[in-house]
Amino acid sequence: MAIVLDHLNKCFGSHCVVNNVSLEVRDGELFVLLGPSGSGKSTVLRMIAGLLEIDAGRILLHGSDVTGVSPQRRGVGFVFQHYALFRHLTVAANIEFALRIRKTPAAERRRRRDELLELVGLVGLEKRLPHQLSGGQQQRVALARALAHQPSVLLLDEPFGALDAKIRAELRRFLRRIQSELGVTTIFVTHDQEEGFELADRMGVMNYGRLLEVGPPMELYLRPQTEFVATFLGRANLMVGECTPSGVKLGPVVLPFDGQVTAGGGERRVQVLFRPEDVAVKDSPDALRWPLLGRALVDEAGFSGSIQKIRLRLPPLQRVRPISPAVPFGADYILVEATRSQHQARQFPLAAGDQAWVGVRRTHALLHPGLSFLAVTDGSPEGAAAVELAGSIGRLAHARLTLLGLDPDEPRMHAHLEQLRERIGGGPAAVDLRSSPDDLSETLARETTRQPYDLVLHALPAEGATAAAERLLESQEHHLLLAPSPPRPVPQRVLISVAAGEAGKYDVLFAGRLIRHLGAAATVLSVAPEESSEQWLEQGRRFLAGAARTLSLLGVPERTQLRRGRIGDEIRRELSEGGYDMIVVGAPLPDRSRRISLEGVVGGLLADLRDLPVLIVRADLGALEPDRPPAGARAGENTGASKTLAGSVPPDARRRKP
Amino acid sequence: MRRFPRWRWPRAAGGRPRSLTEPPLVRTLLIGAALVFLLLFLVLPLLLVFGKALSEGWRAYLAAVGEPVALAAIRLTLLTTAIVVPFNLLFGLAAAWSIAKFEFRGKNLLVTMIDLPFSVSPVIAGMLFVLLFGAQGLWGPWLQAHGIKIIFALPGIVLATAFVTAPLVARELIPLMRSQGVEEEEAAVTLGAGGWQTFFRVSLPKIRWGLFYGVILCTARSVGEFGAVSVVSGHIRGLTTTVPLHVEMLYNEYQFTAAFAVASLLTIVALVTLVLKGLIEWRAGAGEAGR
Repeated sequence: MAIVLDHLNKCFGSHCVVNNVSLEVRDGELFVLLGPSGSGKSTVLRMIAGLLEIDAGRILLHGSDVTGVSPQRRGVGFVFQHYALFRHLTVAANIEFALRIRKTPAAERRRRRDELLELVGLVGLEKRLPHQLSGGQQQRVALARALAHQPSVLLLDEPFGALDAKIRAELRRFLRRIQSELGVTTIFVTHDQEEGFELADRMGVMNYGRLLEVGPPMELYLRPQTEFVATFLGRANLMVGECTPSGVKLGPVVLPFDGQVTAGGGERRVQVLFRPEDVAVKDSPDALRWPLLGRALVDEAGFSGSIQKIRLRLPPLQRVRPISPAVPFGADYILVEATRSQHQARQFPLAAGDQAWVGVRRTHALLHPGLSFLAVTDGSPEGAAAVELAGSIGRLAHARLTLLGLDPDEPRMHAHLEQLRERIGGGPAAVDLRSSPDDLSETLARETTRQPYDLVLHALPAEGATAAAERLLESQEHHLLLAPSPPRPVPQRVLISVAAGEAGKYDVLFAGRLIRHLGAAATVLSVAPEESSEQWLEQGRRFLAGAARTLSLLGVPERTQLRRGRIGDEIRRELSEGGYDMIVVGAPLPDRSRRISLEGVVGGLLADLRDLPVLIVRADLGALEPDRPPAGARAGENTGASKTLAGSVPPDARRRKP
Repeated sequence: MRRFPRWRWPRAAGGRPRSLTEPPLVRTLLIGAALVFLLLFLVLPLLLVFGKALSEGWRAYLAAVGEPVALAAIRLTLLTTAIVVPFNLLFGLAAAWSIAKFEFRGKNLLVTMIDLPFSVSPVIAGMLFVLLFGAQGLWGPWLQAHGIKIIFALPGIVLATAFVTAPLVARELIPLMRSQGVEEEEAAVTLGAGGWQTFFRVSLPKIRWGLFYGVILCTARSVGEFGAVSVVSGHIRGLTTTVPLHVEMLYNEYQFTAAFAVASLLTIVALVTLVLKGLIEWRAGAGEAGR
């Protein structure tokens, strides 16, 4: 491996620009690091060159650890976006700079310089000063200069960013040729996906300091695993549908999908991607040889050179949440983008306002469904605190965030939500705004039926917290996070208090998924009744060991604690001793009318916990069906012990702490 | 036969349309006012200085300039300048470097302090040194006990001059270094250049014209400084009088011709400075044109 990055981290204050980036670049490979501006890609490049110190992690170049080595001795070539030529030196002197530093004999220096001038096609310009050259020529000089000392690794930081489109395309081909001629391992940083596609042997996509996916360009385009990569590389139609054994269910239709989708572990929702070129548009449903999405209204049909771009409006589909293209605020339709060849466009001409039947040729299901949060506010400071917590967690988890405002005066609430969104800033995958004049239960039921959420955030009510929490958990399948006010910093020590059982495993898994993003440490607490038998305790220990394995596999620093006594008292004792700033509790199973009653332990805690965020996890029984792998198994847990435990606790006997 | 160029109304810069610019008459009046002012208050006085200096002929001029006391003043001025300029060159470079390239506590304070000598009247600056080093000053008794003489001697004059001219080099360099950034230095480092190599091969050449200009300004100001030096010098003829002080003393003694003769030397320094400034701007401009 020519370049190995091992868990690189870089933070400026509390803002982490590079977050646990690990990467291997092969010998002679042209690797493109792609991402929007501010995603940390240039920072990674500068760290490889040694121009920036790293906070944590290691960098290996050709097998030797250069983490502490000065940039002068790393032997890399670096090309800057704005060329950074030495303005007082001629082209020749610029190219010879590295050789002069190395005290290379004059004859050898001249030979090498002429060789490089020929390589970059600038023979005859060696006496010019940088300002006498065009931008494209300057960048070629910069490339020659960076190659003079025969670096083992070539790093290019958006080198063609300041040039116009035609010269960029020319230089791209030129770079590709030189790189394969010299066989030098190269990392090329850009925000231009087209540039990335054209150049890369393999590419990596970064966003908010994380390296999301790595692979050949075609693979990433056709089979992305994350929402960001799906929407960042090319145009995408991305919706959340449901996973069924026969395919992906989008509303009434079941679409076949290409990859293997594992619906285990309670993840029944799945993000479905189809590219505009995979959308078929015909004048009758019979003409479509593909699964039918429905009859659509043409919103826009535009000319763009070799292809035609069409935007279609589909009527809303039950339990389908569109992600991309984004649906305008207040719209009651789904947007689908399609492209057609000009030949197809001539055969079946379409203009805005026409009707057409829409089918899908090929779909791809994303493996990692992103988290989506719904933060509810009534415009009060407590509501704003809940939104703020949603913002800071959403930023860390790169979740999709919907702010729901409840106020009879909708325009005012909308202005307030705009403000809150402003305050949250970038970071979450998206921030959507909704307002409603209706009351909480009704709105929540409507919203969560329309689009399912992983987590609903609400202010911790000052009074009647238990009843309020029960209401918030009434509909659908989300978990609930009650936020204290005034807003606290992002939790760093979390107490997970769960019963030793199958549902407890799910609680730990979901809490772990969330906590992992916060960078917090977790303590899993299980409380056994005072008079419990040794066997019971043994089961508790096995459960905790499993929980610890699950959390550490998720990368969450963990600790476990088994206590004996009355549950509520022991939790309070642990809270007062441990210095926790968040607590996770499992919600009891719903009764026959699907109501969840929080009377008992959770209610008792809610009554007197005023300053901690409380996460109430609803056990997903679907995840616990015997034909699915147990929740922990997805994360690689040793299932032997847990099966014994599951067998000993029948599902209906599972009372979460009476 | 050569004809005079035909009179033309001044044109607007950049070929802007008539509606966006001033009427021709206004343009002419503005340009005229500036030229008349320049003529009356700068060119004419300059000519008068040389006229007065030479009013009694070359012999008198040379006598006034070659007089031992005048020569001593010239020597003292040159010596002061020779000490002050290199000192301020280093100080200005260090200050500009730290302000443009580092983040540190008290940076804003340093920026403000660098401008202090400009905002304080030179006379007050001189008095500050008297308060510090004078016989009745803060460190006066200690200095006297150790036989060190600062006020009314060369060290005082050097200190006062250095204080007054301290901002010149730094002021010239800070905006230049800020605008240039550090990419070239980073490039040098990735090419293998060490700290000193980067400094001498890249950083210094990058700012050479700004630095040169700062030094020229610093020199001109050191030669011509009056206020602060006047307070600390003590006016001991032939010992602690610099050229400007010598001019003032001659003037106060009604030796106008001699006064203007010596003053013409200072005027020549000013003119040379102007010419050098023009040259540097032209050179630096040529170097930057392509950016």
